[in-house]
Amino acid sequence: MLGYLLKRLLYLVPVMLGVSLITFLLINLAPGDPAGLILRSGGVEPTREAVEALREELGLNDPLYLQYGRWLWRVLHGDWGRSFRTGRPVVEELLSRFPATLELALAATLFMLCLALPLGILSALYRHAWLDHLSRLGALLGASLPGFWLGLVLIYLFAVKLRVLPVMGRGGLEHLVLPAVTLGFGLAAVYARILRAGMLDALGQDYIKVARAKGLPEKWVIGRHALKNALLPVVTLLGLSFGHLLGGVVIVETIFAWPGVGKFAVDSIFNRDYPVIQGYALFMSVVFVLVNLVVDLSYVLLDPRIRLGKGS
Amino acid sequence: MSRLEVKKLCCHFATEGGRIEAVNGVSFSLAAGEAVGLVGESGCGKTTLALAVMGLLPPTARVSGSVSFRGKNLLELSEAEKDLFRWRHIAMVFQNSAEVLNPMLSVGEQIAEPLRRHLGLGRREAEKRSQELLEMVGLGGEWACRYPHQLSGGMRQRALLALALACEPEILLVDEPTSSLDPDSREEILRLLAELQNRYGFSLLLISHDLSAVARLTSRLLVMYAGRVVEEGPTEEVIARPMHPYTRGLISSTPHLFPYRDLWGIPGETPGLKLPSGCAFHPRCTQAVEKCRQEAPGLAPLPGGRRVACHRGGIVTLLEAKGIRHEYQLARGRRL
Ligand SMILES: Nc1ncnc2c1ncn2[C@@H]1O[C@H](COP(=O)(O)OP(=O)(O)O)[C@@H](O)[C@H]1O
Ligand code: SF4
Ligand SMILES: [Mg+2]
Repeated sequence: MLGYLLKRLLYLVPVMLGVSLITFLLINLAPGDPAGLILRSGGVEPTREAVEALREELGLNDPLYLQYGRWLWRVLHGDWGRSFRTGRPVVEELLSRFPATLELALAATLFMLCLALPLGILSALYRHAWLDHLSRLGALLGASLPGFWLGLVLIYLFAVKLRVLPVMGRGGLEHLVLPAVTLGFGLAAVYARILRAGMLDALGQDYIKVARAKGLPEKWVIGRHALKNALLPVVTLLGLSFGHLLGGVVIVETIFAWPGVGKFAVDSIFNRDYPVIQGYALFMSVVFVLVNLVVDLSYVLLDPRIRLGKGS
Repeated sequence: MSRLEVKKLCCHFATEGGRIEAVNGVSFSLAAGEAVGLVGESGCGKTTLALAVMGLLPPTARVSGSVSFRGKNLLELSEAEKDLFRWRHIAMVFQNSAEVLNPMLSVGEQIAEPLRRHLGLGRREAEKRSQELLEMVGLGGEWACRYPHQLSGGMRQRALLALALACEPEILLVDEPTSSLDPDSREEILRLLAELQNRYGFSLLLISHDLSAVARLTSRLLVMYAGRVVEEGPTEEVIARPMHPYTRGLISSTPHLFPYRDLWGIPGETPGLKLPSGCAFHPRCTQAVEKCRQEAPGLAPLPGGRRVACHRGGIVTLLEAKGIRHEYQLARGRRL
């Protein structure tokens, strides 16, 4: 087990290298000059000399391999650089915003589970009933509607028309509802279908017949015997959709002006804040790999066939 | 007094390909402590019959007739009422397969469930009792905390037995206990089953297509063909002197009972979805007459507590060879 863990952590190294290199190339392929943008943020058009001087100072005139090498060298020594825009260390900027993103992601996951679990179970139990059709439609919408569209519709309905929830910003629970629903809905709809398929598969197995024969109450048969087996494929896929969630976070945070790392990253992209973009990509790839590791470990713990292997 | 009385039981499945008449008017009874065998080729409706008694057929099944136990017709009970009978009074050893035990729960947890549900044992007591049950079937208590995938086929069969006996039921239905077992495990399971019946005195319905296994454990035999009982009688006698042509074929194709299986056996194939008219066996029967094609024969009593469903009263003996001794003497100089 420990060997497996170390191997997975070691696997982080190529992932981080790859992600940072690709991000670096993309940044430099995109048009736009950070020096110009920084100087223009004062509202005054800068002189050509001023821009040139700043480019020199930021090292932007060096060849690309030198720029990347310098960045990598510093990161390896724990220095992620400073934001062009705010001048504060990148790590500090990211970490101070991360709790807000985490809060949103957890709320979305919670919403996702609260919707997907009952919907998946019920649409398997009452196959081809109206709830099943509704959840099928939901999954179709959830998978095909872009997140920002749902977000805007929700804002219009609940914040503008009904005025029951705030339009944007972070605050109490009421601020969390719309962004979490926007972020979680698509996944919930898809997971409800995955769970339904898993439930149907489990319910057709012999051990369910045995459980019924034992005279167990139906809710035990469903909850203890069928659900435990049906949740395995759901857990397997959770790690994969976490990437989906991270992508969604960026959009949702922007729509709802949620002060998390996603919104910060988008702002940084608009401002060509290279160190922040690099840092964000690196940070998120670490989070992604770690979350997947946790998901895989929980899968191993959940399934006795993997936990214990054959024989022994 | 019979403990279980099944009368005119029919189980029909509605499928896309049409109606499948899996069980068609089966009647039999199980007396206290009695061991009855139910044999027949695979697909003849044995498992369906057992599941119907347990009330476990899917909603696509139409079940009619009656299953009487303690003066109640089990078929008419609600699911909640059935739950009180199932496993507590009538338990079943399901056919051994990799999915018959839940892969996510330990063997002990699965045995503990009926103990807690029906006998009201606490967690600790149920755990201890399930270990004892596993020891009783020769598996050892330490297997309680293992998981199904760690068991071999023979071990799983033992675990299934322990599970079925958890609440010491009055009636035990055992479905194909020897299928997919190697010869040694088969021997052990049969010995164990006989020993357990001796000890607990449950009524046993032993379902199998393995005639020799059934012959060893039961005193009465039901022979099923295409959803009907075609012959019934004391096991020994039925095997020694089968009355129905199908029973004879079945015995002839069982190597343990009849070493010349290549010479005999049953010609033709088991019926498919659509059952033949009249006696379902007529396309394969060597003595069929016109009436066999038109009318289904009922089980008619014969002397000696035997019954057979055949228009010709069972196997027609053309030449009675028994007791005739022919002596050939080879005298010197004489030709034979
Ligand atoms: N749930 C079901 N739906 C449709 N047909 C079924 C179902 N269960 C059993 N059958 C059919 O009923 C017949 C008897 O099956 P079964 O009782 O399993 O036979 P056996 O146990 O003697 O091998 C078979 O033709 C089988 O295909
Ligand atoms: S009823 Fe006719 S077809 Fe059926 S077993 Fe008897 S003789 Fe054969
Ligand atoms: Mg069967």
